[in-house]
Amino acid sequence: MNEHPSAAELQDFATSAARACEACQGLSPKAAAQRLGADGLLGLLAPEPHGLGLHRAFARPVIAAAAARRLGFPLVETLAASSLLAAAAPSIAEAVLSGHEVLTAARAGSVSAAWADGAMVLNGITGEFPMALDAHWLLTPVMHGTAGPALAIVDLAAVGHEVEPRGELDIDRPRGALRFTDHRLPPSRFIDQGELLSAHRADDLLLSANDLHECARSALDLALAHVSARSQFGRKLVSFQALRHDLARARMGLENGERLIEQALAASPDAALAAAELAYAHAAAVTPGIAEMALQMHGGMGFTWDVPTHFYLRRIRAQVASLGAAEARDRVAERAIAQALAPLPA
Amino acid sequence: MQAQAHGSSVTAADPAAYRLGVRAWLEAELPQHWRADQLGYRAPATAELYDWERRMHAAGYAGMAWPTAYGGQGLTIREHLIVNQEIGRLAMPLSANSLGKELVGPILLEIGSEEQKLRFIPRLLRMEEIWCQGFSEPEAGSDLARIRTRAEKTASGWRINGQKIWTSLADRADYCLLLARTGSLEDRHGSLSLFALPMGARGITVRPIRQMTEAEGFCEVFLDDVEIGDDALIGSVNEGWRAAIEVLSVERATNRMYRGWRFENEFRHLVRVCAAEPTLRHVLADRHYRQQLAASWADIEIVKRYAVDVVERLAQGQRIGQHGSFMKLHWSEAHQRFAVLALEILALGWASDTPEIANARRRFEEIYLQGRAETIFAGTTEIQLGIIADRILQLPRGG
Ligand SMILES: Cc1cc2nc3c(=O)[nH]c(=O)nc-3n(C[C@H](O)[C@H](O)[C@H](O)COP(=O)(O)OP(=O)(O)OC[C@H]3O[C@@H](n4cnc5c(N)ncnc54)[C@H](O)[C@@H]3O)c2cc1C
Repeated sequence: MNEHPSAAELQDFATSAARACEACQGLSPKAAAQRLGADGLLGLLAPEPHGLGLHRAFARPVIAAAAARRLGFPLVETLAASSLLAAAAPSIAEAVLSGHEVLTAARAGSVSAAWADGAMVLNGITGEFPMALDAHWLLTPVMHGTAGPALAIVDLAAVGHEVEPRGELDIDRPRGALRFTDHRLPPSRFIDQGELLSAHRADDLLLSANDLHECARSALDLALAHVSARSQFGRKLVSFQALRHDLARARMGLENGERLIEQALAASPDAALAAAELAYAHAAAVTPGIAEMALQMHGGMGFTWDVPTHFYLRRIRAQVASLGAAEARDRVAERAIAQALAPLPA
Repeated sequence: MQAQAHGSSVTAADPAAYRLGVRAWLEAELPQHWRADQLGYRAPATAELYDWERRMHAAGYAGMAWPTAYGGQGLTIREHLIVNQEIGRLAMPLSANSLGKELVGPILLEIGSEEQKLRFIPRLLRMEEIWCQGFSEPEAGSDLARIRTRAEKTASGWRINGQKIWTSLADRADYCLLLARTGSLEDRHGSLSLFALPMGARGITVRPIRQMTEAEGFCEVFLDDVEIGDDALIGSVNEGWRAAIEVLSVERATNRMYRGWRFENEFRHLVRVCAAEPTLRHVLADRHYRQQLAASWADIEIVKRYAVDVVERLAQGQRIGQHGSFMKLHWSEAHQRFAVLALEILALGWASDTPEIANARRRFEEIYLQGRAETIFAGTTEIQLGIIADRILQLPRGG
């Protein structure tokens, strides 16, 4: 059942995803996890028996529903990690995808890993990750001396870990970082198989791009509603062409990004990472400006807690702080230049 | 009607084989010296271009999705896409009858009479009749509802008086797709009609306008008591605008479908010149330029994907509404950004004006200058933004 869903299937799915996310409003992250897990939403993408083994496109309505409601939960992180966990750490997959334990993920950092006495010893600091104080597991990139980039699954509940709260940007999903000093990781929680890593990265970037889009779309909707209702100079703000054109441009930015997300969703496994990097680089470049514009269009109201626009902006900015447009573009540039220099297929 | 405009149900049995066939034919037949990314490039003369396009059609690579009865290939819009992708891959000269093939053909297929389809479409495909588009007027540019050129009913047909401007190729065209007023000006869009105006008719004066790029064929057209027959009317009286706009909104999404792939060809050209030239090689290692190249690459992928998505939607019989406005707005601005980047990069090679750099500079200067028109014609940037605001976002207009 790993096929691209039809529009009708997605619509059905969107309705149940919205209901599930609605039910999570006001719940603690752990309670939300159980609710989402019981509905099967966390294991959407993981292969059976851990999950439903659905096409990645099914993640879109779930991410949309969660972003619009500003769900305080590491949803993208969990969905993106689900296949990886199922393959490399089945018992953790079981606990996380059923909603009994919460997993979060860092995208960057400077953690080194080295073998010593039958364990992987970690040193250094992770990049920022969301839901830092509520998660049981942390998936973090590490650099292994000889084997190159890898991922470590760290048990945050184990003694000796002190998560450092970081930044105030994302109020819905407070962030933190973790410092390791000679932390001994059980070998089974160290993942360095290239294919698993790149598939995980592709899913993570694609779903993150999607999340950025949904946050920007929510902010844009708020701006549309505000300028349609508010009058100044004796007319509705929406009648001013300068605002209409800015709104249209923002809409085009999302429409353009949609093309890249669609392309990444349709990509074959060997093209998936490149397509996801491109989609993410675009989303990271375009969505912050859309949320900032949306805030501006609210005037003073935008600067208050009376309208939720700033929450979306915060979420977007916190996300691109951990993986920015420029870094994402570096990867795109590498591929684009290599492709331009390669001969055209005959 | 969609089926007619976008292809019968016949599909080339094997798309991959079809593609290889197109690719091999173009590779073998397109002269090297007409390829703008090759040294020794020279633009083809008009007659050479007509001949080339005639041969393309004879080989099966024009009118892919049009019925064979009108000279088309009887295939679908999917084959149209494949041919365009292959055309885009090469730095091929632009069509000398693009208004005929991209605008007039689809309009005739949609609202023309059977006689008109049989009469006009095969000839424009065979390059026997070249078309121009007479919409814009001195007082009616973005606001086409203010068109004043008037067509009055006579006993045997229509009498036309007025003036058109910015009429590309009017100096060589055999026919003009004319939008003229057939009722009162107050009715704005509701009293405009479309005509196939023979450019050889008495009373037509064509005056050239010197274009910024020095490219020939930009004209203004004066119409003084021009008499044309009843059969010149396309579609119904006073329905010209509605029909035109319907077709135009699809055309905006489908015309020059090769665009994204040509854009990629330009990108390749620029990167390859940088890699080959010692004075430019540092560009490819410089993060500032790499970031900009990556942004252009994303732009290109978006243009390509829009085309692929539109073809799929049309092939499945879905409507594309006003989505062509996103495409037009995006590609025109993205192309301008890329041209600016190319000029900036190539200027860094000033110390060694090798033939490769000189050739690239010539090409990208032309693209840069021509690019300035791309946000003006076919509905300006501001008009596209207005369409998105009004029709897609459906923002209320009133005060
Ligand atoms: C190279 C080239 C080839 C062309 N070929 C043809 C052809 O073959 N046939 C043909 O009929 N036409 C042709 N055109 C004409 C083209 O379609 C018009 O130039 C275009 O529609 C704009 O009209 P205009 O020049 O009168 O500018 P105007 O409409 O006067 O616009 C001037 C500026 O004001 C802006 N503007 C206008 N209205 C608004 C508004 N409501 N809100 C905000 N801004 C606004 C415009 O965006 C533009 O920036 C061609 C143009 C070019 C440049």
